[in-house]
Amino acid sequence: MQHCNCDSCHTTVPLNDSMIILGEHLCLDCARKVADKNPDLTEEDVTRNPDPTVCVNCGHDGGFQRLEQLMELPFCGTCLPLIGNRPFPGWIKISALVLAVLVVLSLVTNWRFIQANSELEQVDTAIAAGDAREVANLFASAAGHAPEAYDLKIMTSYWTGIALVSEDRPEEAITEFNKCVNELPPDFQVAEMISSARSGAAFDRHDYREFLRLVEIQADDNPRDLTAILSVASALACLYVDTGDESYAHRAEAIIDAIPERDMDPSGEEYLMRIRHRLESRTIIGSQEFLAQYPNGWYASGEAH
Amino acid sequence: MFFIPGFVISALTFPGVIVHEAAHMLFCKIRKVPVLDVCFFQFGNPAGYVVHGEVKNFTSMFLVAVGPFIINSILCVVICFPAYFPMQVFDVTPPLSMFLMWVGLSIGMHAFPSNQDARNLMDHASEAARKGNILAIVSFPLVGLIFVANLLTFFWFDLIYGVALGIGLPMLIF
Repeated sequence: MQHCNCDSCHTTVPLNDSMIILGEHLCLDCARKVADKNPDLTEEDVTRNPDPTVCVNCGHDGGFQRLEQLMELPFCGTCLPLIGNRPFPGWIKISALVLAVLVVLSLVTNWRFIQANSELEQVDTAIAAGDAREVANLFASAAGHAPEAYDLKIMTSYWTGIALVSEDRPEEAITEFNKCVNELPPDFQVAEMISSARSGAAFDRHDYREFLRLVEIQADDNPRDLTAILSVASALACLYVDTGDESYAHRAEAIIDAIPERDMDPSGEEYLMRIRHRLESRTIIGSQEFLAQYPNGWYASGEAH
Repeated sequence: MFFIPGFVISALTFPGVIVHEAAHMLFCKIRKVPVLDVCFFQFGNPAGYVVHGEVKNFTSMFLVAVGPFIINSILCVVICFPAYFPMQVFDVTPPLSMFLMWVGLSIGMHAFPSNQDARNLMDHASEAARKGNILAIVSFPLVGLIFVANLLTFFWFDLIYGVALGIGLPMLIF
């Protein structure tokens, strides 16, 4: 260890316990006094005077031997390689390891959410293809992967209901739609779906008066909805077949004649075809059976097609 | 603007401070720059620091300075990713996912190098640019960006950056 004399009090102190202020070697006590008297001292005015025989990292005293220097600072043989390649502390390594394990664990436990998200991304395609059963299956699968997401269960019921309606299973559809009551925004028209399924169920039970009552309510609520209007004609045609009362047939034809040509769309034309078939043949068959019997459509005798 | 003192933010997001300093140190080790002193986190200003020895070339200086930006950004995305789906897509909040989201966003928030890092980079870039170092020339606008980003932390830019990486990026991809 090297020593120096304080230029102010002339005591001998270890070099590391001294400072150079404005060119004077001072012990720490004198340095403090000078600093107090000169508050305008800048960083350049004050320098340390490191002892080249004492390690600045661990304080190892090399006696009279000057230690190796790094950045003009003395380090002992033990500290020098440590400074040159300082290892990360153990707690940093352990924390990094724990974090990595948690990320992997989270990825594994949340993988089902990623799968559910992937299934939901396919929903739009299935809706665009008009495949209600596929939409229902995708929602059901997503709900299975993420049972905590209550909305997915509701959407599964909603789309299962729509799929069941399209499969001519309205009674089962009502059960599914009932699960969605007060659970979905008005845009989803759950009440209308239930009403539509009930009218379908009435048709299946051959309760054509109830069928007519329900579709008339739907048509009143949606006076511009082609399907709702045609459903009234369909119910009247059923009552005509069932009772033989010509007035029902006249009312059905009046409704059909009142529909402007421009309002007709392909699904409406198919529905209209069934109603006309019903009125002419005086037989009632469901949509699935009709499509099976007349895959190329049905046309009245003499009708151009 | 909702103002919270910096030391409180640093305390609430301390994993980000630790990773920031660890990233500086990691690049020091990679580039064989001696590390004289390191503080991964403390209550105060600065919340953490790395004192390193002289850097031999500008590439090393650049990597040591922007190391946290690289490491923190990558870790933010990686850590937030598994937590993103249950929390953001399905509105489900498993405790582990919440914890990782906090860690990830904290790390993302501390991705930007400090003004001191930017100053160090600029000092070395000026000299290196005079010698025609392309990286040094490219780093000038980067230094500007760092200063601007640090200025915008008053407007929560650091949090916005973390959220953009941890939540916005997976939202954009998936």
